[in-house]
Amino acid sequence: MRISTSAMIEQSVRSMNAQQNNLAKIQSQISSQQRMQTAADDPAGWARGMSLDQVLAGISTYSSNINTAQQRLGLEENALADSGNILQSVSTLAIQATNGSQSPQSLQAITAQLQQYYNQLLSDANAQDGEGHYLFAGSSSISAPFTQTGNSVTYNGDTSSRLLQIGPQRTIADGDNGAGVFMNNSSGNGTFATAVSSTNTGAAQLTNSQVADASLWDGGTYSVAFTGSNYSVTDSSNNVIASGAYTNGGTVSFRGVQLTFSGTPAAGDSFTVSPSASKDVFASLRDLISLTQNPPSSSAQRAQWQTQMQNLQSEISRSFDTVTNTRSDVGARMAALDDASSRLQDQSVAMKSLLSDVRDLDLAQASTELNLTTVSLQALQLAYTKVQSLSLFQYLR
Amino acid sequence: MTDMISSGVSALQAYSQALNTVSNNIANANTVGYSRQQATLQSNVVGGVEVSGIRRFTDGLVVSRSLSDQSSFSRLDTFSTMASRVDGLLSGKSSGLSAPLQKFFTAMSGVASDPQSTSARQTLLSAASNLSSQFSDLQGQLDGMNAEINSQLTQSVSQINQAAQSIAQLNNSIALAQGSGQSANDLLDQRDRLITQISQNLGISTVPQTDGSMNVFTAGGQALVLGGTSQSLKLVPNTYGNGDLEISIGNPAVNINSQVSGGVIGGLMDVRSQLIVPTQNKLGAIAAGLTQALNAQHTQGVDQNGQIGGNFFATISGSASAANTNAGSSAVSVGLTDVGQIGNNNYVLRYDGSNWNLSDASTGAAVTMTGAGTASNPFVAAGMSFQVSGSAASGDSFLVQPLNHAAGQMQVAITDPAKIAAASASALGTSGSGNNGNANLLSGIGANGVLSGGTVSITAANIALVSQTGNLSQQISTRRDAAQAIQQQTKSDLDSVAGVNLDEEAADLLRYQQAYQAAAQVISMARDMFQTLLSATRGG
Repeated sequence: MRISTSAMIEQSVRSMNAQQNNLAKIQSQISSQQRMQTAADDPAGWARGMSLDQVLAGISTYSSNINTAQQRLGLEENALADSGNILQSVSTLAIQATNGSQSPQSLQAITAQLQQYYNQLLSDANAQDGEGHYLFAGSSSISAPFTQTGNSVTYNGDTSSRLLQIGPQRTIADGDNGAGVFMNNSSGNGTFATAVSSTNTGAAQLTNSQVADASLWDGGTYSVAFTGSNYSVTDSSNNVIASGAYTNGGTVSFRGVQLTFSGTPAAGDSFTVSPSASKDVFASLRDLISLTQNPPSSSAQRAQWQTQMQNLQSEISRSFDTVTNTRSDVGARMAALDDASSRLQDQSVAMKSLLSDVRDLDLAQASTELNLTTVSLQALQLAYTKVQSLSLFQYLR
Repeated sequence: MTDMISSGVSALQAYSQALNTVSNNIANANTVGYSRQQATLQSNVVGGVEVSGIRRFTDGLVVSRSLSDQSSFSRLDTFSTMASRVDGLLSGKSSGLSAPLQKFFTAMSGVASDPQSTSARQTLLSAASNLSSQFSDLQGQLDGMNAEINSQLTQSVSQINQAAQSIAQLNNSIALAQGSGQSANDLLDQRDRLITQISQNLGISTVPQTDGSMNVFTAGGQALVLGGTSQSLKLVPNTYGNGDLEISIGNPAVNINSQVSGGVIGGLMDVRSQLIVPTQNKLGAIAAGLTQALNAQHTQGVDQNGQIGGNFFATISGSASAANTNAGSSAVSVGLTDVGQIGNNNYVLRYDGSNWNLSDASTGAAVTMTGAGTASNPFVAAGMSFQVSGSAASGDSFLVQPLNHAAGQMQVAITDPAKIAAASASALGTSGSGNNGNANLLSGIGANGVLSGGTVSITAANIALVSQTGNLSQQISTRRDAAQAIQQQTKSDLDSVAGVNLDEEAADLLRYQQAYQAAAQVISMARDMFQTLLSATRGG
């Protein structure tokens, strides 16, 4: 075939151009360390990379939510641990106070201590995280949830808790509202509360009250009255529903309620059993403080005092249970967060390595290609100069 | 001896002409479109030699093949350049949608994790406005490319018209020269170059005539050049005045837009219909889908003032352009009621004198509408609603582009961070609520099925858009490379016939030079013989 001179030059220039294009491409791959510069380089790979990016962005959002939740729950855990300790100490003090050998001075010391615990518990309930959010305010965490007005504490937060997304289909509460933890207690033993008539003159006191059979308890108000060595229980319509002989240290049972008395009642003494009413832990503490402030001076008063004390101890102990239960729930959530976090980390590592497979440049391969391309470009340039010097005109001198 | 002298002289003349041809070849060795020439020698009946003609080396078949190769290469080259630009735009880290989309949803989870933080809310608003400006930037870039298409069309059409005019003139000159037996070789080269120039811009076919002139037709069969006359192409605005220019020919003008193919113009038409419009539609679907889904959820929530949330992004509407032939005064507004049902089609809404009818713009298939077209009871079809105002004349029509301009309309409707409805409906009436129920749902919207009848999520649609454009760009660039290889093959085929090889010319130069010297020697020998004869008779 004839080859025209200009076609030959064009051919060589075209080949050199193609090699230079390859060089430029490899160079941009090496400088960006990426196999693909635009989607056109490998549309399927590019799309895969984008999907992986999406997953990684999700993982990073979830991880940051997990961090936030861990931080908030950690602080909540501290506050709950402190509250638990306070309530335990309060129980101990209440038992000490009940001990008959307390002098007015030592009761005063106990009162002062209880007052301290009261303040400390209130401050725990108003605990904040590092960013100024109140931990026990439910979801409205920018204003203090517990405020004291007069002798009562009111809760201003809401009863919800904030859920943070820690997985595509998984949320976790980043706190517990103060209503559930501190306010949601009730008087007495949680089913019923007992009260002593202030006109009692005997020394009989209630030493224990418990629910023997919850299925029989009907939520009514009952009165236990003593006449001599007998007792009778009447309901709110004055119908006698139980009666019997009273023995010191004996029990009185009716409607699933079991009451244990000690001491000798005077005729006409009475005790009331009524359904538990809602009562927060601060009110119980406040009542405890006012009891220790006013120690009994007669045996009849002591009987009343002891019965009230018994009620309050049961209230404090149930508050303690609530705090402890919440704390263990928080612990469980933190463990779940740890699990979720390490799972996300594993996933993130796996995704990143996939992404690197899809996107990153194989440097060894690229430098080999770079070498090959350079060599072939050099060869082309050499060939061009050799071929161009071949011309018959050179010999026509 | 007179014979010797006259044949010697004829040889001198013939070889000097042959040498002239060789030197012309050498001079034009690098001239694009030059065909090698050769003096054809023949013996003279009265003795000696003469040049019977100057032969022009060419191959009609290869030339016409090179024209169609040129057309298909230019078409794909134009397409490929634009496709790689759009690909770069969509895949770019800073120009694409992925990064701002991701940032937007990350900022939304930021609000979910701390709904009472004004700075988290402000971050969300900034991310949202960044996202919406990215959408409008992309729309702007694509609109800009559409404008570029128009200006390139103008350039190509004026090149074609000039070339067609010159070809018609050359046809006249060539017919004249060939009629009088003169060589028209250089005119033929010139005409081939002009025809190649047209084929670069538009797919054409050529038909040689017996008088030496060449007729040129568009791929659709319209005559650009007939003998000594030429017809101009004109650019006319699209019927629906949406800014696209279309090709027409002749007087009165006939719109041949759908019939043109090949060349730069064919490539530009492909770019418009296969690249710009689909990309704008898909981008619009993502913008409108995100707006719709986000607003639907946002208006379920409660903001920091304890009120039900408003629209987060401004509502996006479709566009309806009136045909420039409309006689009535009606106008149409297009609402997007369900972006997931809309798809990537455009529609034509036409009034037949008593009823409005909707049809698919590309297939013409009828689409059933319900409703009456009023504000309270608009026409509803395929996820859109139409409200017609004014009075229409029979035959009036509108081009409905539901999503084509949607991305450019994306705008954040909220400026006050407190108006972000992060709380769920339970917080209604509570100001400053720390409830994050709605923000949790909002931050998950990117992964919800929103488009294509609720099967494709916003993020998936973005990934699909980028990879589809990448695919198109890759595919067109591969086809462009193939077309280039074919074109080069044809060119080298043509070069092997018509191209100048300098070694060959050097050999010819030597050959003719030696023949010339020999002929001169013959004359000198004849003179010597004459002298010998003269001196012989004088001496006798």
